[in-house]
This record gives sequence, C-alpha cells and structure tokens, in this order.
Amino acid sequence: MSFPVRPFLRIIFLLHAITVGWGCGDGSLEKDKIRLVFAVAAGMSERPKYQAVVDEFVRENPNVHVQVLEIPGNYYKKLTVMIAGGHPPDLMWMGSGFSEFAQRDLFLDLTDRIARDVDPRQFPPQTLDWYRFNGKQFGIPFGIDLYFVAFNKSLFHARNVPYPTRNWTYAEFLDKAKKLTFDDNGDGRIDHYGFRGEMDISLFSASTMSLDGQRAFFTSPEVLDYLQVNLDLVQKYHVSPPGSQLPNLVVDDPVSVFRQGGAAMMIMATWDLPFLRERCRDMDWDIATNPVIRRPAHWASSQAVLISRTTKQPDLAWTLAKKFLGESFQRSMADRVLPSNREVARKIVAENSDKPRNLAALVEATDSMYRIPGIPNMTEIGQLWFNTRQRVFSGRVEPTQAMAEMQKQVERLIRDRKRLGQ
Amino acid sequence: MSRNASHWIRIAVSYVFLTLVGVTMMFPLVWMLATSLKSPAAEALDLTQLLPTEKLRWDNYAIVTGETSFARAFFNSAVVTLSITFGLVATSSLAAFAFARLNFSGRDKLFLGYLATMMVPGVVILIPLFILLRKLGWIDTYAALIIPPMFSAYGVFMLRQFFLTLPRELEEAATIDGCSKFGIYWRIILPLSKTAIAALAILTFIGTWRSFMWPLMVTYTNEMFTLPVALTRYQETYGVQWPYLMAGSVVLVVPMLIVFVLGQRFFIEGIQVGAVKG
Amino acid sequence: MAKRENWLAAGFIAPNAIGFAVFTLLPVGAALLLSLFQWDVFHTPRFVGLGNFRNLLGWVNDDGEWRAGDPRFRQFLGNTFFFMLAIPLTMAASLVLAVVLNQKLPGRVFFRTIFFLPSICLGVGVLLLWKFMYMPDIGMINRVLHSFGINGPDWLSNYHWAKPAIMNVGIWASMGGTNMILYLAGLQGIPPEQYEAAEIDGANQWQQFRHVTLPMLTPTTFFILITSIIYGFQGEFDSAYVMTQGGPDGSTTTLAYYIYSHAFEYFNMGYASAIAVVMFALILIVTLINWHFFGSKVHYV
Repeated sequence: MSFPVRPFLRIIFLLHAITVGWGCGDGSLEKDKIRLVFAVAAGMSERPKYQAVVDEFVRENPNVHVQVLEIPGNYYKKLTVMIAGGHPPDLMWMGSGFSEFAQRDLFLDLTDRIARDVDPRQFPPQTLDWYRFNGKQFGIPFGIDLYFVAFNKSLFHARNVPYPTRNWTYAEFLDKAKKLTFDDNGDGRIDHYGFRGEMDISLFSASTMSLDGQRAFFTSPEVLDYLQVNLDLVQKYHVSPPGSQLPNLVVDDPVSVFRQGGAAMMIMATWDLPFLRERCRDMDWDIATNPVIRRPAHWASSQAVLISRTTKQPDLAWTLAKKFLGESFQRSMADRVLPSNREVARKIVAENSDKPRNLAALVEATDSMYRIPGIPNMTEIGQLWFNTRQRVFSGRVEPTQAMAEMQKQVERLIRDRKRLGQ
Repeated sequence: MSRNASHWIRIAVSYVFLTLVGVTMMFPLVWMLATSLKSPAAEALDLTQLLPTEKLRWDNYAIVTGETSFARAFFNSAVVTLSITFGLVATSSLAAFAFARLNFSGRDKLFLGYLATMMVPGVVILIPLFILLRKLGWIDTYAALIIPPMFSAYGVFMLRQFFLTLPRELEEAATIDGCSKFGIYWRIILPLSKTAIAALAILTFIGTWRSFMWPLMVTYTNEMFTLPVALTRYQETYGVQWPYLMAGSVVLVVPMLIVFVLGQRFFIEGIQVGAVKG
Repeated sequence: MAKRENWLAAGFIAPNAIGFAVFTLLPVGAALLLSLFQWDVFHTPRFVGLGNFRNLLGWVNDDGEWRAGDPRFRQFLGNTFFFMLAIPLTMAASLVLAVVLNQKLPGRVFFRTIFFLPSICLGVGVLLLWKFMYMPDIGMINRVLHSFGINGPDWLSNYHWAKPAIMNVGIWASMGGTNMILYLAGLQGIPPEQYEAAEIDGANQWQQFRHVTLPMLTPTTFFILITSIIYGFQGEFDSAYVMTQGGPDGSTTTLAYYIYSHAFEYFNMGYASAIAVVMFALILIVTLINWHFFGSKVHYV
C-alpha cells in the first residue's frame, strides 16, 4: 500500500525531459522563416475562412510563416494581456474594441499605404472613417454588421397584413404590429407579439455624448423620446412583451423565438443570418430595413484586420491585411456579414437565391448606417448606459428620473477621470 | 455492540437523505451526458429535455476526441496537472513543517505574509506576473504553465494548520533517539498526515485540471493549450455548439472523478493515531 | 540553538519560499503598488498618489466639503458582503454531508462522488440549466411552487430575489466540494477511542456529536472559515455573469467583477488596483478578527 515514490519520480522527470524539449518555443522547423502572428476571435466555422486567406498569402510568400492564433473566450482580455506583456500579435481582428485600443496608440498608421493601394470608391464613404483616429487611418473594414427587421411572412399572410416596404414609417410599423399581436388559443395570454426588439437610438436623431467624450446629453428630449417610444411598445400598445428590448441572448435565443412565431417582426443582426437560414428553413420569412422614425438609421458595426504599431514586418503585414479586402474572402464571409466592398456586395445580392429574398435591404441600409463613435471611457460609460436602460425597460424607473441620474453619474465619471489627468 | 432499532433507523434516514439530495446533485452530469448525445443542430430549448428524442449520437465523442488539438491538449493537461500537484504538495509540506514545528525569527510574520497574498484577487496580479514571465522568456512554455501556480499559499496554510494538530510525543521521543528534523518530517509527520496530504493532492489536481484562465493567458500557440482552453473552441462568438462542448466537458470531468474515487482510500481506512496512548 | 533552527528552517522553507517570493509575492506587491498610479495597461504608469483612492472612497475638497466616493463601489461591496452570508450555510451543509458520508455505509464512495459532482461540473452549461430552472413561467422551480399554490417571482430579473437565487446556486455547487473533502479528512482524524469513551460515559449520538466531533473538528472548521472568508470576498463571478449579466441594476455584481471591469474593460489598472487594495485591507481585518476570536477556541491536541 505504500506509494511507489521512486518509480513515480522517474516517470515525472522523464515526462519533463520530453516535454520541456518539446514545448520550448514552436516553429523550430521554420527557423529561417519570417514569422507573423495573426490573432483572431474566430470559432470552428470561421477559422477556415481566415486560414484560406493565410494559405494563399503563404503560397505567394514562401519565406513567411503565419501563425493563426485562435483566441477562445474573452478575445479583448487576452489581447490586452498579450500587448501589455509586450507580446503583441502582428495582425489582429478588430471589432467594436477598436476605439479603446486606438486611443492607446496600439495600431500601425496605414494612411499612406491605404492611399497608395486601396481605391476608396470601392467602399461606402462612412466606413473609411470607422478605423480612423486622430486623423490617422488604421484600417478599412472587410465586413459590415447591421441590425435590420426580420419578419415572418406566414404570420403576415394569416393576418392579412401587407409586408414592410422601403422607407415605411413608424406609424405604418405600429399599425402592422398591432394587427400582428394576437391570442391564438383564447387563454387570455398573447401568444404572438407583433414586435420584439429595440428601436435603436439612432432612429431618434439622439446623441448621448459629445464626440470628445466631455459632455453628456442624456437628458435631451431625443433620448427621452427613444426610451419612451420603446416603453410604449410594451406598456401602451402591448405589441411587445416585457423585456423585449434587452433580452438575455443566451436563454432567449432570438432565432428560436422567431421560428416559433413568438413575434412577427424582430430586430436581427447580420450574424444571425446563418442561423436563420439553417433553422428557419421551413418558414417563410424575409428582411426589411428599419422603419423611419425621426430619420432612417441602422445600427452598424464592423470587422477589420488591423496591424500592430510595433510589428517588425509592416510591409508584409500590410500585404496580408490587404487580402481581407479582396473579393474571395469577402465572399466567404458574406453569409454572416455584409461585404464592405460595394461591388462584391452588389454581386452577392444579385446572385442571391436563398432566403432572405430581400437581401438588397442590407445594401439599402448602408445609406443610413450609424456606428457608435469611439469616445474616451466608452466601455465604462457603455456599461452604465446598459444598466440604466435595463432599469428603464423593466419598468423599474421612469425615463426622466433615470436619465437625470445617468447624467449625474456620467458627469461624475468624467470629473473623476479629469482629476487624474486622463 | 448491540445493533438496536435506532441504529437501523439512522441508516435508513441516511440513505433517504442521501438519495434525495443526491438526485439534485446528479442532474448536471446527467444533463451534460444527455446533451452530449444530441444532434449538433439542436436548439437551446431542445437542450432542456433530458430524454433524447432522436437517436443517440455517440459519434459526437469521436468527433471531439478525434480533433488533432484534443489529444495534445489532453496530454498538456496531464503533464501540467501532475507536475503542479506533485510540486505543490512537496514544497508546501516542507514549508508547512517549518512553520508548524520549527522556531525561527520572523516565522509568524512570514506566515502572515503568505496568508496576505491569498487576499489579493488574481485579476490585478495577472499583468505584472505576465510581464515577469515574459522577461524570463517563459511565455508559451510548460514552465509558465507549471511553475507559478505551484506557489500558492493555500497548501502551506492548510498543512501548517494540520501539522499543528499532531501530537508531539512521537517527535519528542524521536528527537531523544537522535532523529534529525528532516527525519522527523519524513518518517513521522508525513505518514501521520496521509489524509491531509491526500486531500490537498486531490484538491490541487482537480483545481489545476479545470483551470482555464491561467493557461489561456500564458499560452500562445494552440499546441500549448490545456484541455479546458481547447474546449472553448466550441463556444464561438455567436453560437455555442452545445453537444460538442458537453462531450468535451464530460471527457474533462472523467479524470477528475477517477482521481477523486481513487483518492478515497485515504478517507476510508482506519485512523492513524493509535500509537500514542497513555 | 535558535540560530541553528534558523538555518534549518531556511532549508525547509527555501524550495517553497523562493518560488513564492518570485511568483506570488513580487506580482502581488507590484499590483498593490500600482494603486498609486494611473495605468492604462499599455503605456508607462503615471504616479497619481492617492488620486485613485480619493475617487474611490471620497474626500474632502478645499472648501471643506465632502465629495462622495464611487457609488458603484459601495453597491458592489454590499453585494459581496451579502454573498458572503452563504458561508455559514455552506459550511454547515458540508459538515452535515461529511458526517453522513463518514459512516461505514456501503456505497458511501458512490454517494461522495455524486455530491462532489456539482463542484467540478460547474461551467457555462450547468449555469444555463439553472437559468432555465429559474425562468418565471416554464422554469422548474416556479412550476413546483405553483403546485403548492405559491406564485414565484421572476427570480433572476427581480432586484430583490436575484441575489438569493444566485447564492443558492453557489451553495448547491460547493457544499459537496472542497469543504466536504476537508471535513471528511478532519473526521478521519478523530480517534474512535474518543467516541467509545463517550459512549461508555452514557452519551447519545447527538451528545457525541456535540462533545466529541465538533471540538475535534475545530481546526478543520477554523481553516475552512478563514479560507472561505478570504476567497468569499474575491467572489466567484462567473455564475452571476452567465445568469444575470451582473443585473438587475448591478444587484448581482461583485466587487471582484468590478475590479476585472476596470482592469480589462476600462483600461484603468491603477483604479482596479486601488479597489483591490481596499478589498485586501477589508479581508485582512475581517480575517484577523475571526482569527483572534475563533483561533482561541480551536482545540489543538
């Protein structure tokens, strides 16, 4: 029963000898090649698309070895640790985290290279500014994410409601939503809602913060309007269920709700499209642009591949980064993100034979895209904003009071940062 | 000793209690198993049904374990976990012995220092430690995975407290017989502490095997990932592949259960202190 | 004599202490020191003295007015204290389980393993399962309550019930875990002679428990108490995040999560360190108080 110490120790040391030799730095096979590290947040389904581009690059540049670092879990946290620790990747995928990283001077200024190698007319004009900071351009997005309205055609049929049209107004939207809210089995509880989701703040011409991040406008009438209109959908017109504005995405899987007819119209995003196509195959559905409230607007975000400021291979990195703006990559990602290259997007729409038929709506939406601008302390203020909206939309606080508190909190935050010289 | 009625009642009550509570404890694993056998296209709501409605998909396991990264990740986890467990128990027991039995200047202050380090959340330590490891050139090596976690104060604290409860008579007798301090440690304290050391070893093994954050932060290449990290590839940005994730998680849990069951023999055998009487 | 022990002790401690000093003490010291700086993680830290602490805790300005500290800090600190109420509950539950499972019942290893399962299976999947159970209409918990005629609230969206709901999951997950193992180990250490002697003296089961088991377990209980306090403050925030995203209104956000947010989301490492320093001080004080109070009651042999 006594523990066989010696043999055990021998095994441990043996394992160590093997593994230490093994684990000490990889790429021993490619010692004479140039190494580039490319960090991606991709998962199982997206990695091959990035890999295909990398493979093509490596074929054209055989003296370069590119390591695609797939970062699981919290992408930005790991990226932060890598960069802070002095081990930044040469290229990195970048989404909404851009502004926080850009403010800290982490990216390579690509203004000259873009001017030389990229034709700006290929892209929607606003997108050229999305990765711009302090007058310098750090990249161009390869894909645009948008929110739009997905609607259940069968329900529209059943209730004899005409489909959403281009530039439909809020009044038309509300009318349709009312007609599409009904109780199926007579148990007194609404089974099908007209609408689920949130009417984005951009539709109200509302601005919450100044671009320099120093002034807050939470108490402005437009912001209050945004809150009240959304609340009315639930409380006054009863076309949306409570909590419809900030659903907990993990449990209230929007695609499932949509498929089960929980709501006739729902706000969806481009990244939902693969799931919609796959799981709602037997359903009749389509998409439409947002209704016009004070102005046409569509929440937008983007994805790009940016280069680290401290990379040792700026030219090679740029050669690789450029490829993501090319047609083949954009096509491969087109099922879940709108290609930023206008020509590619047009082709995709023209060739589309699958649902949604009205894929052109996405291209129309690019005329009124609204991307949240990067401001100082964006994440922190964003967190406060999210919490406050939760309180308002759950009915716990009146909008006016909530906004007064929010205004005070943000002003306090700005003052605190100023005190520390931030 | 008479086996009266109250004895049987006590046993019956125990079993009823254990079964009732046990059922609630079991269902996570049962759910994980059930989900791991579902079709990858299953929806969120389907996952709450325990009973499978379709054919059981055993090949989910084949797919998950067949991934090239899986075998390597499993190996990494094994090496790292075993090394840390062994290293931590060995160094902690030595240090704990010193704190519990030796008299030296600054002993209690140093011990307080050990304790104090447990009181600082890991989040703020992460980047300084990372920078340190980078200066050592240890990023993305086994050294970074194994060595820093080995020096947690928890083990020292635990064993010191335990050593303090051991009666001193045996040691006094041994010292009179001319035994060295190390001899006391090796021949008296350690054998008497089998239960505590087993407990620490089990807890360390399990804690390290499951740890996700540290291996994620110090590794760069997919070849150096440990198993929990490798499994997160099924948790994509917009969509979780539950059946694969659960299949991987079940595989992750099994070694921990094995270690737990095997380690039980230290908690079942008779008590040790029979040598000291009167 | 004392001097010789110094060198001897050094020999024993050295393997651990060297590693400890380099990989634990040094980073911890650096982290605490960072609280005096403003550091956005990527550039050189900038010394701001007590600036972070003033923003955090409040200060008196030149006009003699009191400027309040960070309100979110106060809220999350309160949440953390609340979650720590689970400690005595979990300890008691672990003790009960350990006592029941220490008896020479056939199948005890099986049951011990079952009880141990939740603490190792706790991951995103299981947390989501709990989330389903807590859902207002279709969740299991409310359905069971309904059959008793009680209408349960929307647990995870209710400002007052979210915390107990999360606490419940924590207790369920950890009662068969580490602490149970430690109690089992502690119970092993009680010589059967003690029980025999008590029985001869005429003590029944309950009295034996009170006068033999509990006192002999005090070292284990003490250790579990101290470590529970230390780790309880640093709160496990994964469960809260998956189930409620820290809401509603931040009622389930712990201080540890706030530190994480400042460190990695707001790039405010100095401030995060300042919060960690305050947390450290609190833990130290509470630990020392408990050490003093309970330490004297520990029954060493």
